[in-house]
Amino acid sequence: MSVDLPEVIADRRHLHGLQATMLSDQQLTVTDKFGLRNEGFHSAPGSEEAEALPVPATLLINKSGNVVWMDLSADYQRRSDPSVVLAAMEAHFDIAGD
Amino acid sequence: MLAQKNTHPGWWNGDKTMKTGTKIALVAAVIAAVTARYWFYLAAEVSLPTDRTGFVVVFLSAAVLGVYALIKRTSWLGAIPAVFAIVVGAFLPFTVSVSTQIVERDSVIEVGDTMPQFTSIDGQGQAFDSESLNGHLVLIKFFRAHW
Repeated sequence: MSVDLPEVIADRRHLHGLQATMLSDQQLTVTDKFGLRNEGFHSAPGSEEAEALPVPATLLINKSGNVVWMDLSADYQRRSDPSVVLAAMEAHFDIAGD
Repeated sequence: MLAQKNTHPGWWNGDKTMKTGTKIALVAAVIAAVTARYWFYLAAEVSLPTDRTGFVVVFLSAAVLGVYALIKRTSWLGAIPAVFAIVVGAFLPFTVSVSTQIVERDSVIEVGDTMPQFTSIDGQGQAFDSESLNGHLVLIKFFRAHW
Protein backbone atom coordinates (compact mmCIF):
# COMPACT_ATOMS: atom_id res chain seq x y z
CA MET A 1 0.00 0.00 0.00
CA SER A 2 1.55 3.27 -1.06
CA VAL A 3 0.61 6.58 -2.62
CA ASP A 4 2.31 5.57 -5.87
CA LEU A 5 0.31 5.60 -9.10
CA PRO A 6 -0.55 2.12 -10.48
CA GLU A 7 1.95 2.61 -13.33
CA VAL A 8 4.74 3.43 -10.89
CA ILE A 9 3.83 0.40 -8.79
CA ALA A 10 3.97 -1.86 -11.85
CA ASP A 11 7.33 -0.39 -12.79
CA ARG A 12 8.91 -0.71 -9.36
CA ARG A 13 7.37 -4.09 -8.74
CA HIS A 14 9.25 -5.33 -11.77
CA LEU A 15 12.42 -3.53 -10.72
CA HIS A 16 12.45 -4.93 -7.20
CA GLY A 17 11.06 -8.36 -8.14
CA LEU A 18 8.22 -8.05 -5.64
CA GLN A 19 5.66 -10.85 -5.50
CA ALA A 20 3.04 -9.39 -3.18
CA THR A 21 -0.07 -7.53 -4.29
CA MET A 22 0.82 -3.86 -4.41
CA LEU A 23 -2.01 -1.37 -4.03
CA SER A 24 -2.20 2.28 -4.94
CA ASP A 25 -3.69 4.67 -2.40
CA GLN A 26 -3.10 8.08 -3.90
CA GLN A 27 -6.06 9.69 -2.17
CA LEU A 28 -5.04 8.08 1.15
CA THR A 29 -8.55 6.69 1.61
CA VAL A 30 -7.26 3.34 2.85
CA THR A 31 -4.49 5.02 4.82
CA ASP A 32 -7.14 7.10 6.60
CA LYS A 33 -9.29 4.04 7.32
CA PHE A 34 -6.32 2.63 9.19
CA GLY A 35 -5.55 6.06 10.70
CA LEU A 36 -2.04 5.97 9.31
CA ARG A 37 -1.81 9.37 7.63
CA ASN A 38 1.41 11.08 8.68
CA GLU A 39 0.62 14.44 10.23
CA GLY A 40 4.28 15.34 10.57
CA PHE A 41 6.65 16.75 7.97
CA HIS A 42 5.61 15.90 4.42
CA SER A 43 8.48 15.39 2.01
CA ALA A 44 7.05 13.62 -1.03
CA PRO A 45 8.66 14.67 -4.30
CA GLY A 46 6.43 16.95 -6.39
CA SER A 47 5.96 14.22 -8.99
CA GLU A 48 4.04 12.08 -6.50
CA GLU A 49 1.24 14.64 -6.22
CA ALA A 50 0.07 13.00 -3.02
CA GLU A 51 -1.27 15.38 -0.41
CA ALA A 52 0.29 13.40 2.40
CA LEU A 53 2.08 10.12 3.08
CA PRO A 54 1.27 7.19 5.32
CA VAL A 55 3.39 6.40 8.32
CA PRO A 56 5.42 3.30 7.42
CA ALA A 57 3.58 0.45 9.09
CA THR A 58 3.35 -3.34 9.06
CA LEU A 59 0.20 -5.14 10.23
CA LEU A 60 -0.57 -8.81 10.70
CA ILE A 61 -4.24 -9.80 10.35
CA ASN A 62 -5.55 -13.22 11.42
CA LYS A 63 -8.18 -15.30 9.64
CA SER A 64 -10.95 -13.67 11.67
CA GLY A 65 -9.89 -10.29 10.34
CA ASN A 66 -8.42 -8.97 13.58
CA VAL A 67 -5.14 -7.11 13.90
CA VAL A 68 -2.86 -9.42 15.88
CA TRP A 69 0.38 -7.48 15.58
CA MET A 70 1.50 -4.17 14.21
CA ASP A 71 4.60 -2.08 13.98
CA LEU A 72 4.44 1.65 13.36
CA SER A 73 7.59 3.50 12.44
CA ALA A 74 7.68 6.59 14.61
CA ASP A 75 10.47 7.73 12.33
CA TYR A 76 10.48 7.13 8.57
CA GLN A 77 14.23 6.50 8.54
CA ARG A 78 13.59 3.41 10.63
CA ARG A 79 11.23 0.74 9.30
CA SER A 80 10.12 -2.69 10.39
CA ASP A 81 13.18 -4.88 10.31
CA PRO A 82 12.40 -8.00 8.24
CA SER A 83 13.60 -10.24 11.07
CA VAL A 84 11.20 -8.55 13.50
CA VAL A 85 8.29 -9.06 11.10
CA LEU A 86 9.24 -12.70 10.50
CA ALA A 87 9.45 -13.35 14.24
CA ALA A 88 6.03 -11.72 14.72
CA MET A 89 4.57 -13.85 11.93
CA GLU A 90 5.88 -17.01 13.54
CA ALA A 91 4.59 -15.99 16.95
CA HIS A 92 1.17 -14.71 15.94
CA PHE A 93 0.24 -16.71 12.90
CA ASP A 94 1.03 -20.02 14.59
CA ILE A 95 -1.18 -19.19 17.57
CA ALA A 96 -3.82 -16.91 16.13
CA GLY A 97 -3.78 -18.42 12.69
CA ASP A 98 -6.11 -21.28 13.74
CA MET B 1 62.53 27.33 -18.16
CA LEU B 2 60.92 23.90 -18.28
CA ALA B 3 60.89 23.62 -14.50
CA GLN B 4 59.01 26.88 -14.19
CA LYS B 5 56.06 25.44 -16.05
CA ASN B 6 55.33 23.20 -13.09
CA THR B 7 55.29 25.93 -10.46
CA HIS B 8 51.88 27.10 -11.55
CA PRO B 9 49.71 27.07 -8.41
CA GLY B 10 46.86 24.59 -8.40
CA TRP B 11 45.64 21.38 -6.84
CA TRP B 12 47.20 19.25 -9.60
CA ASN B 13 50.70 20.26 -8.54
CA GLY B 14 50.60 18.15 -5.40
CA ASP B 15 50.75 18.99 -1.71
CA LYS B 16 53.49 21.61 -1.92
CA THR B 17 51.42 24.10 -3.86
CA MET B 18 47.95 23.01 -2.75
CA LYS B 19 46.18 25.79 -0.91
CA THR B 20 45.39 25.17 2.77
CA GLY B 21 41.71 25.73 2.05
CA THR B 22 41.72 23.06 -0.64
CA LYS B 23 43.34 20.54 1.71
CA ILE B 24 40.72 21.25 4.37
CA ALA B 25 38.00 20.96 1.72
CA LEU B 26 39.26 17.53 0.67
CA VAL B 27 39.30 16.32 4.28
CA ALA B 28 35.75 17.65 4.78
CA ALA B 29 34.55 15.96 1.59
CA VAL B 30 36.08 12.61 2.58
CA ILE B 31 34.46 12.79 6.03
CA ALA B 32 31.08 13.65 4.47
CA ALA B 33 31.35 10.95 1.79
CA VAL B 34 32.46 8.13 4.10
CA THR B 35 29.83 8.97 6.72
CA ALA B 36 27.09 9.28 4.09
CA ARG B 37 28.10 5.93 2.57
CA TYR B 38 27.89 4.29 6.01
CA TRP B 39 24.55 6.05 6.64
CA PHE B 40 22.98 4.66 3.47
CA TYR B 41 24.44 1.22 4.17
CA LEU B 42 22.75 1.21 7.59
CA ALA B 43 19.53 2.56 6.08
CA ALA B 44 19.48 -0.28 3.54
CA GLU B 45 20.04 -2.79 6.36
CA VAL B 46 17.17 -1.18 8.31
CA SER B 47 19.57 -0.58 11.17
CA LEU B 48 20.00 3.16 11.48
CA PRO B 49 20.31 3.81 15.20
CA THR B 50 17.43 5.53 17.00
CA ASP B 51 19.90 7.99 18.45
CA ARG B 52 21.66 9.53 15.46
CA THR B 53 23.42 12.26 17.44
CA GLY B 54 26.84 10.91 16.48
CA PHE B 55 25.95 11.07 12.79
CA VAL B 56 24.57 14.59 13.14
CA VAL B 57 27.76 15.75 14.87
CA VAL B 58 30.02 14.24 12.20
CA PHE B 59 27.91 15.56 9.31
CA LEU B 60 27.75 19.06 10.77
CA SER B 61 31.51 18.97 11.41
CA ALA B 62 32.05 18.16 7.72
CA ALA B 63 29.78 21.08 6.76
CA VAL B 64 31.59 23.47 9.13
CA LEU B 65 34.97 22.29 7.78
CA GLY B 66 33.67 22.94 4.27
CA VAL B 67 32.71 26.49 5.20
CA TYR B 68 36.07 26.99 6.95
CA ALA B 69 37.86 25.75 3.80
CA LEU B 70 36.06 28.37 1.71
CA ILE B 71 36.97 31.09 4.23
CA LYS B 72 40.64 30.00 4.03
CA ARG B 73 40.30 30.27 0.22
CA THR B 74 40.46 27.21 -2.00
CA SER B 75 41.44 26.97 -5.64
CA TRP B 76 38.31 27.02 -7.76
CA LEU B 77 38.44 23.27 -8.24
CA GLY B 78 39.01 22.96 -4.51
CA ALA B 79 35.66 24.64 -3.93
CA ILE B 80 33.91 21.54 -5.30
CA PRO B 81 34.78 19.25 -2.34
CA ALA B 82 34.03 22.14 0.05
CA VAL B 83 30.54 22.68 -1.37
CA PHE B 84 29.96 18.91 -1.48
CA ALA B 85 30.84 18.67 2.23
CA ILE B 86 28.52 21.56 3.08
CA VAL B 87 25.56 20.18 1.11
CA VAL B 88 25.88 16.57 2.35
CA GLY B 89 26.86 17.65 5.85
CA ALA B 90 23.82 19.91 6.20
CA PHE B 91 21.23 17.87 4.32
CA LEU B 92 21.35 14.54 6.19
CA PRO B 93 21.03 16.11 9.68
CA PHE B 94 18.07 18.04 8.22
CA THR B 95 16.40 14.76 7.22
CA VAL B 96 16.90 13.49 10.78
CA SER B 97 15.17 16.57 12.18
CA VAL B 98 12.09 16.06 9.99
CA SER B 99 11.90 12.26 10.06
CA THR B 100 9.50 11.99 13.00
CA GLN B 101 6.12 10.62 11.98
CA ILE B 102 2.96 11.67 13.74
CA VAL B 103 -0.42 9.96 13.51
CA GLU B 104 -3.78 11.16 14.80
CA ARG B 105 -3.91 9.21 18.08
CA ASP B 106 -7.67 8.75 18.15
CA SER B 107 -8.01 7.27 14.68
CA VAL B 108 -4.98 4.99 14.44
CA ILE B 109 -5.72 1.27 14.26
CA GLU B 110 -4.69 -0.88 17.23
CA VAL B 111 -3.97 -4.52 17.98
CA GLY B 112 -7.30 -6.30 18.55
CA ASP B 113 -9.19 -4.04 16.15
CA THR B 114 -10.99 -5.52 13.17
CA MET B 115 -9.31 -4.71 9.90
CA PRO B 116 -11.33 -2.04 8.05
CA GLN B 117 -12.83 -3.23 4.75
CA PHE B 118 -11.50 -1.29 1.82
CA THR B 119 -11.23 -1.18 -1.95
CA SER B 120 -8.23 -0.05 -3.95
CA ILE B 121 -6.41 -0.38 -7.28
CA ASP B 122 -3.44 -2.67 -7.87
CA GLY B 123 -0.36 -2.21 -10.04
CA GLN B 124 -2.22 -3.53 -13.11
CA GLY B 125 -5.00 -0.99 -12.61
CA GLN B 126 -7.35 -3.77 -11.46
CA ALA B 127 -9.86 -3.14 -8.69
CA PHE B 128 -8.99 -4.75 -5.39
CA ASP B 129 -11.50 -5.54 -2.65
CA SER B 130 -10.30 -6.42 0.84
CA GLU B 131 -13.11 -9.00 0.97
CA SER B 132 -10.75 -11.29 -0.92
CA LEU B 133 -8.54 -11.30 2.18
CA ASN B 134 -11.25 -12.62 4.51
CA GLY B 135 -10.37 -15.95 6.05
CA HIS B 136 -6.70 -15.59 5.16
CA LEU B 137 -3.63 -14.68 7.13
CA VAL B 138 -2.68 -11.24 5.88
CA LEU B 139 0.36 -9.04 6.10
CA ILE B 140 -0.31 -5.43 5.13
CA LYS B 141 2.53 -3.00 4.71
CA PHE B 142 2.12 0.73 4.26
CA PHE B 143 4.97 2.36 2.37
CA ARG B 144 5.63 6.05 1.99
CA ALA B 145 6.28 5.39 -1.71
CA HIS B 146 8.61 3.43 -4.01
CA TRP B 147 11.64 5.45 -2.97
